[in-house]
Amino acid sequence: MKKSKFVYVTYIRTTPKKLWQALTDPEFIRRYFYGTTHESEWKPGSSWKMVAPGAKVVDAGEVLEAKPPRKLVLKWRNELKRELHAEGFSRMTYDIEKEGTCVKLTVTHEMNRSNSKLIEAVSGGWPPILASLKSLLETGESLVETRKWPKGL
Amino acid sequence: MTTTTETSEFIYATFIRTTPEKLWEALTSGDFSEKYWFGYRVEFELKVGGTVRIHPPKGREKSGDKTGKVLVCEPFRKLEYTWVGQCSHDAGDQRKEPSRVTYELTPMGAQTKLRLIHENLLPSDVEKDPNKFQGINNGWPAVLSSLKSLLETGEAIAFPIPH
Repeated sequence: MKKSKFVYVTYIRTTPKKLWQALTDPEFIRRYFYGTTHESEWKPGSSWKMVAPGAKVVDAGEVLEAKPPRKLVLKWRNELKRELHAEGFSRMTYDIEKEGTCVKLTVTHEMNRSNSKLIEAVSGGWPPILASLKSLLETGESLVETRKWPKGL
Repeated sequence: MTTTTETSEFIYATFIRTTPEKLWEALTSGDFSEKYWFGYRVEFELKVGGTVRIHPPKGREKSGDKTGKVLVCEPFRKLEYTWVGQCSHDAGDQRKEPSRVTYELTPMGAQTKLRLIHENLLPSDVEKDPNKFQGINNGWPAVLSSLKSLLETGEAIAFPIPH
């Protein structure tokens, strides 16, 4: 089967535990993920959703795999745009590995169809979010543009 | 007999809390690159047709200089150059044309977007094992993560030197 796939690697001066917390704590996530929170119990089988201000559900799905602080796999469907929602569920993986004095984070977002519009959309979305996460963990401040949900979305 | 080899490109984007001027300096100065690029010093003659050299650190001279030419030079906005010498550690280079590297710098409020495009890559430039620093796909994210740390915190990431 044809696939669409986005892979992004970044190195962050932090520990795997702190990075895991940064990826799963709703209040922390809000600071670098455009003001959204991600709600889940982070256990295999539990539901998760990304919620924007005004209780707007942006994406939702289920936890497929959770091995703190090393690996998190989510089933992920867009709930905001009809065209993206129609593509169904994608699969998103966070891989966390200690690498000397820092941590390597690999984000893999894939969909079992060619030319997926969702994968195209997240390919533009992940880099500023992950750059902001790195800034937040290393300097205590996220990137300004990623702190609030964009107006009109 | 002709053989065609399929080429590919590697694209990466990051956002750095800095100005395009400082980012440009960090990308084109050997004193900077030495700190974030596994000890390698870049040397750019910043004009179209100017030479590009990337000198390996002491003790790694065997890996050889990478040399190229500047194709596009728009200070603080765009730099494109050819990357001659092997990208991969694989012996023998079957490429007909050198690969090309482009940096695009775009100011965005308090930060600058850096987009990197490395094109005309051969399959041997891409390392299948993600747990290495070799290969264009593994090398650039490490180098650019370290560059971002250096500009935002004053300290690059200390990676183990790859063999």
